[in-house]
Amino acid sequence: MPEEKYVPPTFLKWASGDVAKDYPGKTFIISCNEALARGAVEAGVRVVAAYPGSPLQYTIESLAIASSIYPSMHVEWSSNEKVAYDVTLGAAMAGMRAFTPMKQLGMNVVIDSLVQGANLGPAGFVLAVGDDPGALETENEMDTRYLARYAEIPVLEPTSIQEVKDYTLMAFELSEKIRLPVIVRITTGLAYQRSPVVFGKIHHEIRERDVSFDKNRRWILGDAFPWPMKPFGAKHMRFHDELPVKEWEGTVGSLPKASFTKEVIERLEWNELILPDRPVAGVIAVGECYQDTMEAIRYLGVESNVAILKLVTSFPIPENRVREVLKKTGSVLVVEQIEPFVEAQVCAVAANMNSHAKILGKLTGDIPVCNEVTRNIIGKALGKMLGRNFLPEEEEKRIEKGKDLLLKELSFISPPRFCPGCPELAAGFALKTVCNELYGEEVTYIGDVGCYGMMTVPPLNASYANLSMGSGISIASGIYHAGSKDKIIAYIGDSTFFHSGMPALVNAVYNKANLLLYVLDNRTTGNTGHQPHPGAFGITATKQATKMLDIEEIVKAFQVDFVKVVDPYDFEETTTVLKKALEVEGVSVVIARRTCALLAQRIMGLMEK
Amino acid sequence: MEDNHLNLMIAGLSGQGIIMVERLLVMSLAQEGRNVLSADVPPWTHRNALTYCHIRMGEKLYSPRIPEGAADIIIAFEPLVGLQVSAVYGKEDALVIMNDYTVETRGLSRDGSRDMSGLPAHKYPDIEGILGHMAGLGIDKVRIVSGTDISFKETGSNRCLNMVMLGAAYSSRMIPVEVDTLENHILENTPPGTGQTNLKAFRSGLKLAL
Amino acid sequence: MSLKPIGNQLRINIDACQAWNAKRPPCRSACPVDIDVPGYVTLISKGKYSEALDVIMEKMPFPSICGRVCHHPCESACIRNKIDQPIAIRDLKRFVGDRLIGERPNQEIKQTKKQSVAIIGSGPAGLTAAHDLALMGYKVTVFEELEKPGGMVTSCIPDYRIPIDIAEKEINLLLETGIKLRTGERITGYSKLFENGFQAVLLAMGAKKPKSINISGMHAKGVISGLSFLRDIKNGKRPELGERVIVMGGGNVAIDCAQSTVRLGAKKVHIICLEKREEMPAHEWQVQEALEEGVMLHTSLGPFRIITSNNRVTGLETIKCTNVFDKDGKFSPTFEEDSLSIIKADTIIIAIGQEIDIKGFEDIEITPSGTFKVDPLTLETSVPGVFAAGDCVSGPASFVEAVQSGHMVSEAIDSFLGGRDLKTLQTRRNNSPSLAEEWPIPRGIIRRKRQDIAQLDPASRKGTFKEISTGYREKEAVREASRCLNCGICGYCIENFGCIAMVWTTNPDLPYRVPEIDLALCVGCGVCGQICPHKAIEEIRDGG
Repeated sequence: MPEEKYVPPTFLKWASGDVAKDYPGKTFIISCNEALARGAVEAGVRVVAAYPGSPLQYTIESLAIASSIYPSMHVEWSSNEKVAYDVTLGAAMAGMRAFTPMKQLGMNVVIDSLVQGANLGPAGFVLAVGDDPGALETENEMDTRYLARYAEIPVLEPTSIQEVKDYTLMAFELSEKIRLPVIVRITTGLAYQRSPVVFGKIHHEIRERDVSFDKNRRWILGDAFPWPMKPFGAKHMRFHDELPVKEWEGTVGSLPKASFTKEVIERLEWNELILPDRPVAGVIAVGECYQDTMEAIRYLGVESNVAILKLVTSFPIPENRVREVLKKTGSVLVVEQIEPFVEAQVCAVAANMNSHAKILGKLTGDIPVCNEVTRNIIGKALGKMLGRNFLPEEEEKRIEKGKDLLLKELSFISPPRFCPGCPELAAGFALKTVCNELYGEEVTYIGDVGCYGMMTVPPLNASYANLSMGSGISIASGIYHAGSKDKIIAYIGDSTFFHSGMPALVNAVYNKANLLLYVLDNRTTGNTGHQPHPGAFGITATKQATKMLDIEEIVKAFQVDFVKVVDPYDFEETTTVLKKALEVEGVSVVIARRTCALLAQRIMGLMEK
Repeated sequence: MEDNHLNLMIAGLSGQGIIMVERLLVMSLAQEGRNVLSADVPPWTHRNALTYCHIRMGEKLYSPRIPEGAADIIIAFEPLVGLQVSAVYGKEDALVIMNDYTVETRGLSRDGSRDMSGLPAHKYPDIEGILGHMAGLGIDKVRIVSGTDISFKETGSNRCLNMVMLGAAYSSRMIPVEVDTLENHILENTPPGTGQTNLKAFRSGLKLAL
Repeated sequence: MSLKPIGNQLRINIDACQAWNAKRPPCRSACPVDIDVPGYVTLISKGKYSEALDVIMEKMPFPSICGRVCHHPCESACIRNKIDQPIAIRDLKRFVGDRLIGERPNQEIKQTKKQSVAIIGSGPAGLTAAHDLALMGYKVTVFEELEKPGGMVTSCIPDYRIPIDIAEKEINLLLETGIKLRTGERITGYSKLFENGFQAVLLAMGAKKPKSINISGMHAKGVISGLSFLRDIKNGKRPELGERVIVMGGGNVAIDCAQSTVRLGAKKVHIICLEKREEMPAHEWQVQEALEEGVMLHTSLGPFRIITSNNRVTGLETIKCTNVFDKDGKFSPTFEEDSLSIIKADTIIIAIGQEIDIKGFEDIEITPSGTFKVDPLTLETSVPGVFAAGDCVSGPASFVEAVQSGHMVSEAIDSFLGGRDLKTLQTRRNNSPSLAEEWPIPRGIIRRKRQDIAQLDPASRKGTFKEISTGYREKEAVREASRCLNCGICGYCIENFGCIAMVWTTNPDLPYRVPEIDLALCVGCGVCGQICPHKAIEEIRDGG
């Protein structure tokens, strides 16, 4: 492969606030989040909804700027991911392009609507999902693509920031063509990159088109078709070549939907195949991994004798191209983040064509399943396949030594802790103090998702479980109903309360649990960078004034047995109220309310200016 | 440096202005026609969390992420952070420009004497210890800069530490960009009203080498 | 909601903070030898056993022995008494002592001084002084009348309390530091020692002459002395006692005799003592053990006469004791007329106390109670160059008191021989106040009972001299140690609250490290100021 000479763009700017403006053909340095936003803006997106979740929380901030320029665009922080999904699905059903970015854990929340919603045949509907290889930002590594396959939704994995922008735009077109939602999968390694991106034209006309909600259709669970309903069992089968596609599906033509989707994907030019005449080996690099794979190939200097398939559509895969690679090479390395998802599909293709090519990757152990796949890991696997060393042995030892140093000598470096002045730390300390005095060790603390997850570690040690958004109250109820003699405490944050804490609290009250719910209300979504929510300051994502819901009033309406708001900075008051609350039989709620110290400092800084 | 490539890493603690340095360097290099990619590693929202960014420059680049053990220059805003990042990314013979102001978090203490638990507390490694570890990895070109002190002295706060460090790094003459380009960007691309102060801090960092 | 008080800043008032750290933790104040108790207990809680042992060994050269026989005044002083139960300090000491007994490296001894010291008696006082003096660089020779060094610990205290092998091992380790030991040699008189080139003589022969009383039947067969009974058992003998035994006396020796008797198979064992239950000099826990084992305790009961038949004991006629001490606290028992009763017995063991045997040292001045009279500062007897320490000065006292006296006398001898000035003595400087009374118990302490120590159950103690208490296992020791509140050094803010703006730092002017607030991080929420038990954190008003 000849080394291309780099040609700098004639216009280059660091985009800050320019992401939403019309600059066709101009180059801006933008981040991945901005690229997602730009792609959606170019596509003429009308409705965007999301719940904050790293690494994609900043997309909404860019889109909020866009909505201030294009007033017809609606951008919102929804109360949770499923709500966001349903809002955007509704917009898509109404004929508008709609977009919802979320973190992988958000995908888990969405799954109910996702699977059924896909069957409705929404068009112009794109989801962006942030996966986290190496669990750098979240608690676990999870692979979105399995859920996408479960819901039978195509997945795109862009390989660069330019592609993030381009394929987000094209995902809308693809979605309209195949009448299915489309997922753009971003991995953490990609999510924090910046690079020059050439902007395209913004499709204002699409955004400004009229609502076209088809009232003649019946948008009913599992399918969309005219009355009367089909027998239930048939609904899922439409993906699998059984049901002919209805006339009203316009562009779809007469192909069954699933194979139509496959056919469309097969023809996409995005999955570039570089196939030398006599390749010594093949590489299938999926999404973000393409970058480091190419770096490794370049480092080895084997650009011109390896077959390289850049795979953007990881579900469904372009089977013909994979076949070509398999036909020409004796061994193929599949490189992808987290699970061997594509690798398994490649294996299936190989089995069907009786290929004897060796397929290497995570299934064969050539690439570790856990943790981020980086250049050196890919290089090592490539080197092994080609029968040579990637890095000199000494260098490899030196790098290992460095990692050892971190693990052994520097293991004392403490993980993030509560920030100085954190009201949640103060609140947690007050609770621990009171519980120690009243119950000693006979207390069970159940946490939830938020900064207060740090209560699990010393010195507080005041949280024993930390599962998923809104689960704390219900887990605590379950422990109570199981017969625990302990005093039971459940934590929840303000944002989490609105996310999914409310149904859990209703359930706890209704089913007569006996616990203290400690609401750590820091008036923002602190962990992801201070996004507003229904209970904070009365502003929306686009900084418009709105109603502010008061958690105290809400829980009162839920008829809890005790509710009181305290200021966690006032230690005496907090402990006194907690003591009272702990004596109450039934569900008592104490709301420790104080603005996040970092946010307060920022607001004070702004006020000074 | 492998065929005109430059792998530069900036590391510090959240809130020290790393992304600003990234932005200035990327823009300056790009303006002079260099092919630049960058990536900042997920910053925690919390105070004092490790954060760093990769900047890569070269004819043909695929990934903005510096491979392990391949950083040519590391700008570290804090000594321990410098060691942490060098241990993973530092190339043999890499140049490290390190601020000498230590930020202590819990679990660390300067003196290493017994804390109330009777244990010798984790000792914050002294600069010699840190340099020793780095030398063990073949990284012995370490320039120590009193960045925080200089920032305080020149601008009255530690907020311009990033500019001092940028100046100190630039003075190594390994960053292929004209000083005017960089200074223009400092004036234009820093928050309104802070340009001159930042420039002053940058120049005081620059002077360190002369 | 108002954003205040964010924006103010706080600082630690070092004086207020230090006022507490400068005071001694109560356990340490109560310890006669001033061991840094919170220091080693907390080290144990972190699994740092050898460091913990180092802390103990600074003051106590016999951790395993002390960990068994100490009367632990530290535990009575423990602040945890106010909350739940004291820390099991003694058993924690035993835990590290036993765990590391074979691994302990000896301190390096360099004989740097020319003078030599003779020490008579190898009990805890004598050995401690010998060890200290050897460490100071003196040549030291210890003379022991018996075959084994160790005094009461190796000669009398029964195996079920301190197994002989452990005691010997620990004593031998100490002797290995270069102390010369001559056993089986009874020294009578000091002049010969001076003639043989010793520059100082220490009398530490203890109080091991059994006291006697004058009642009829004392010389009948079956009347034995408590100490020689215990000594026989320690030497492996198993005296014939018959089924019914009476032990006379209310001290620890009496209890030990009774418990040993139970182990030898006696069916009915009585203890009679003049004192009321609460006046008994024996340690309460020892009395409890004896009662568990079925010993019958008769308090306020005195011996009247021993009943004999064919010059053999058949019983004891007793008399009720109304008062043991007179108004001035002097021993002067009064008895109730017409209150005689008889307890049948095959053996009567007399264990009513010990006194010192001054044979050979009659020219040295003694006190009215028969102990050597010493100068309270120099610990020198009436004869220049002759010092005395331990039970032969104080009368029968506890193990740890003997060790303390050994430490003190070694410094006095050092001073006499031209070493240090007595006014700077380490062990006597214990003047800083204890914080026991006014120490504010911080909030949020979890009530936790002390860890049970595994013990042989009373039934299985019979017939065996196996140790009663098996001591802590590692997990239990760590758990027990973690109950310590560490009242000595306050770090409540950092250790419990854990705000990252607070760090430990060293202040060169202060002996301890102190917390410091990093003003670059502090946002001034003021919570630490409210939780500090000593109110040592104050706000700096910056007007903002």
